[in-house]
Amino acid sequence: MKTKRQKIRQQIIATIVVFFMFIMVSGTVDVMNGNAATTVYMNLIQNFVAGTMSIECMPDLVFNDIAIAAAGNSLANMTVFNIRDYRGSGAGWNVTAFSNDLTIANSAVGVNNISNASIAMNPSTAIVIGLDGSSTSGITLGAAAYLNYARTLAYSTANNGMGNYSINNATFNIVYNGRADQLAGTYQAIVTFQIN
Amino acid sequence: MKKCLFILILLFPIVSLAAMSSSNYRIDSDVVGAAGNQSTSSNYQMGDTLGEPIIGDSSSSNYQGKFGFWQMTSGGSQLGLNCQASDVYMMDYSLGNANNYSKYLFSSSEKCSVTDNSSAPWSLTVNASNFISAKNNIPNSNVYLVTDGTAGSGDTITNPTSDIIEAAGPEASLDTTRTIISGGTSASGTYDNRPSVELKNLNNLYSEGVTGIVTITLQ
Repeated sequence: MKTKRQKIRQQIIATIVVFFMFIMVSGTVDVMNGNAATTVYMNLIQNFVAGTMSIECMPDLVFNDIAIAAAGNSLANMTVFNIRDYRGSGAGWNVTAFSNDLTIANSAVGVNNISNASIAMNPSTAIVIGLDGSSTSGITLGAAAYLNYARTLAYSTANNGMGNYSINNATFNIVYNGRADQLAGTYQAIVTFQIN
Repeated sequence: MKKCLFILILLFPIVSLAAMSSSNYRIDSDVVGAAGNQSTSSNYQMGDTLGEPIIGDSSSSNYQGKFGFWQMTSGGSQLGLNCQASDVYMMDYSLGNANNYSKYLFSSSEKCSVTDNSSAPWSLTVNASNFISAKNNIPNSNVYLVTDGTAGSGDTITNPTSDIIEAAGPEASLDTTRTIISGGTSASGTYDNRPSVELKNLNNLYSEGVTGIVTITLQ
């Protein structure tokens, strides 16, 4: 009886072992199947080094002719003025203009200058253009004023005005009072622009 | 005694699965099982093993396991991707540079290698996140992959070049997934790829570093 039970037990175990061995058969056919995508993530790091701030203007600003002894205005158009702020600080900036008196190299008797209090700058006629993707937000043009003091052409608030800008078509005006003793000729003055 | 012997027989294949090597030879994969065979015809090749103790796939949220001899051979991993660097540092860019862009060719120590043990075609693709810092934000539409259609030289370099096609280029923004290179059915072995990436419109940024995540996918 005991032997018979042992035989049955052995047969059961043998059946289980064979069953599992068949289950564990594995095989492949070497026809290529699809592969799941493999993905890698990398950090790409770019450091920006501070550059400089600069301005650039046209060399000559030429006014219309004006007649001696006839009061009137003489206009000029500053077609291009560039501002570049590459400091990367977002500190903002302010561009000012100042002029000395208009003078003429003439030793004859008469008036040989025009006061800088008669030379006006009108930035409100200008347009601000952001170059190279620079935003014009936060940039404001200055008010019309005489250049016997440093006057604002344009300014930027903090965290604005970063990049490359062109301020085009600010106008200048010489207000001539029509003095009869004004010497004829070409008058010159130096307008100084400054950014800070 | 018989029970112990039975357990030992079951465990023996498990401890014998590791790849073996010496100074002159290497066995990439081996198996101890009850039986096995290799059959071939003009079109197909078939191999089988019998009696491996553990086979099949298992996975959790963080890990994936593939058990069994054939998982490690041609029927299992056929393509592999390995990128050397987790952090890639581009050359410093000076604000105000007339180029207004920064282009960087991955160095040889930053390459991504594709291992191809299959005859199936594949492609290596890339996309990028926005590049950000505390104050800067470069949109990924200003991040570009630069290629020239020549696999072995130029802006993106792959070595070797056999049966490899590089994207024609010249550039494509990485706000969309772009193909860097693709391998044909004859491609085989390991291909080292060094992509070129370019950031544009930089001169209006703050002077601080930005970081973006570049996602490279082999499929």
